[in-house]
Amino acid sequence: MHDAINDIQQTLEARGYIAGREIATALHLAQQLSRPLLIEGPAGVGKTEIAKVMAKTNHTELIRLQCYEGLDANAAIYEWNYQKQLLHIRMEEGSQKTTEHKEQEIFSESFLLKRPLLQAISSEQAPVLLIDEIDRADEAFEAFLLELLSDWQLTIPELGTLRAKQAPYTVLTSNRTRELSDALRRRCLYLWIDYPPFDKELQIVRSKTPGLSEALSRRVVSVVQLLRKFPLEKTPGVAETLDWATALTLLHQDAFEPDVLVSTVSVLLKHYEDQKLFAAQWLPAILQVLDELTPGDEAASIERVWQQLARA
Amino acid sequence: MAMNAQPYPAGFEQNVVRFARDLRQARFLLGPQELTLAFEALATTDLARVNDVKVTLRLIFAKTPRERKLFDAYFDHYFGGGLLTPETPQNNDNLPKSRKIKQVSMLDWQQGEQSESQLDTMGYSPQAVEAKGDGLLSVNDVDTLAMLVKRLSKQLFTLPSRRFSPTSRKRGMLDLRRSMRRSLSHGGELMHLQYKARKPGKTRLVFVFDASGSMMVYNQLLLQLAYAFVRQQSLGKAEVFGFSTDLYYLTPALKQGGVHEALRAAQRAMPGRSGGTKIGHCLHTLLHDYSHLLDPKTILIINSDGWDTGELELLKRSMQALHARSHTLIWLNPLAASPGYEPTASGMRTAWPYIDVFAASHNLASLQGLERKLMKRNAW
Repeated sequence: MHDAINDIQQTLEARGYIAGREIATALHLAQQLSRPLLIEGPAGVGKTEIAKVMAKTNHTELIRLQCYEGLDANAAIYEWNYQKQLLHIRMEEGSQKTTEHKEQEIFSESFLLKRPLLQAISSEQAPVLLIDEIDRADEAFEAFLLELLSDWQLTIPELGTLRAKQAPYTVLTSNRTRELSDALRRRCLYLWIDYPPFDKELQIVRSKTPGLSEALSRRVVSVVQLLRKFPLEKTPGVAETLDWATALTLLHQDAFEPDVLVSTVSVLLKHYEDQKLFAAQWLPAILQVLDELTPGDEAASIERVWQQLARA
Repeated sequence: MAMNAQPYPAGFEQNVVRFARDLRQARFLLGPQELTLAFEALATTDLARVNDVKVTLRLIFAKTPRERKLFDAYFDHYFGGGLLTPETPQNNDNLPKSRKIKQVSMLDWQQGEQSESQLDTMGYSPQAVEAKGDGLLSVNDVDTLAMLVKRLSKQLFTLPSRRFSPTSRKRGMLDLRRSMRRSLSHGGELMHLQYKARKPGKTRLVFVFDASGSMMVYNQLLLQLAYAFVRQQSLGKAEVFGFSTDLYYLTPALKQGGVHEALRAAQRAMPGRSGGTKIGHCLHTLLHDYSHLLDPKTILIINSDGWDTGELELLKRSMQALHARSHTLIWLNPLAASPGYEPTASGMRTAWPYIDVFAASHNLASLQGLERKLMKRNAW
């Protein structure tokens, strides 16, 4: 049997997105079954990135709807261009057109401002629709999305019901600031993305910051993996790892030095409390673990040394 | 893709159906829809790769982080010996707990009954609500409670939201859309301008109450208050936790069945309640495991007498963080009603600086006092 999932994995990799088999399977199924894909997970693990890379691999447009509290149908689907309508009415004042005719004119498509959802279903080629941080929108909006996500249609009173020409590939992301409704969950495939394990994160660093030496890349990933074990206010995600790797490249570092870690740690830890604890308590432990790592087998040795430290 | 692109090996379909049924018993959210979808998906999956089958089924069957965690254990247990020979689930020891609830429920039930009858005999203070027969409030009291919840909610659940609603008076912003619509009846002449203003928004209520020994007598009242908050539909979401040495998430239990069943389920959901109170530890758990429920729109109510047998330093840090993460932190204390009350209990003293509103909570009348305090606070 032809391994479609492997193909997806390789295509994604070629675009710079290192995906595990689970993510690739999720994308495969989302397209095969034309179901929306709901992605949850901690911040900065590449949830939004999936949609972007999906659009690239399908050579299609990415339409993004950033959710926020108070997002309503007018900001998400359509709005009439009122200013334009008013001007048009003024201009047509002297004309002989009937009221019905005028009305028809100002409620035609040229006076319609298409917002992301309407754009997504009126595209000729199926786009990737990214509904980002759906948990920030309120529940009423979530309920409204249900019609769109199951039937791919929208209703505009003046124009009637619009059906999608091609069902968009839809990705929803959530940071879990509130629980999503069961109804929404049931319409989606559910994917949880966690912080990547050592090897995967190393692969990501390699592909995104090729300028960084192999030894230093390994150090970078080790430090981040280690930091995630501490009780942080804000755990660094992959985005932070890459920022740090880029920072080190810009500083022309080719070997790991504790001083540089101290001076650049603000890229990784974005809470004052975390930085304070890092400087005051954690730094020696981190440096000690780094000293005892076996090159080439960091993942296992981090775990081992950490266990020893925890016991001590 | 067409269904059944490949014929499944004999017995495989039944196994998946049975597997789904077992998951449903473990309160997974799934029905025939998901099953159909699963078979549609499996049609394009290489069945020789057990891990692919697992991932595929997980994407479709598990819809929440909780279900995701449970799923792996279930799958390994069920299909551990291969996709075609599911182990007959006799030995359930290595399965997660939720499955076992069914089997021991009778025992739990009896224990639940016992603790409730104990509560009845203890009763409340003279002017307090009388607990009748099954440990519920009397009809009159339920009405009072309902009214109280409604009025409390009005005070608790009002923050301006980002949504607009029309206003008749000329305050707020110009509403072009409605002005435009209205003008159509005058042939496009803008005769009357329309205005809009921010709608009052919904907040989230997180209600955390002390269910330890020292607070036993108030438990029924609090649980019913919690029940009322969870069940009200109109105002906003409420989440409920009980704690003693550990923190228990009670919202799902309180959503079950009718009032009797919900209260029993909540009692059952808090197994170990003897052995002191670790407020600090429990609030820390709340902060870390349920951080997604805390945001600047959260009204946090903690109900406890402040007798703490845990670490005070942890309590202090947790209170500080909770205060920073929530909109308002309200502390209810049943002892606060006694004349000349001073926050002398160690836990109470530690928590004191981080409390926005402090009120008594030993009976319904005292909760009405809370309403007055909130009104004053919201007034300016």
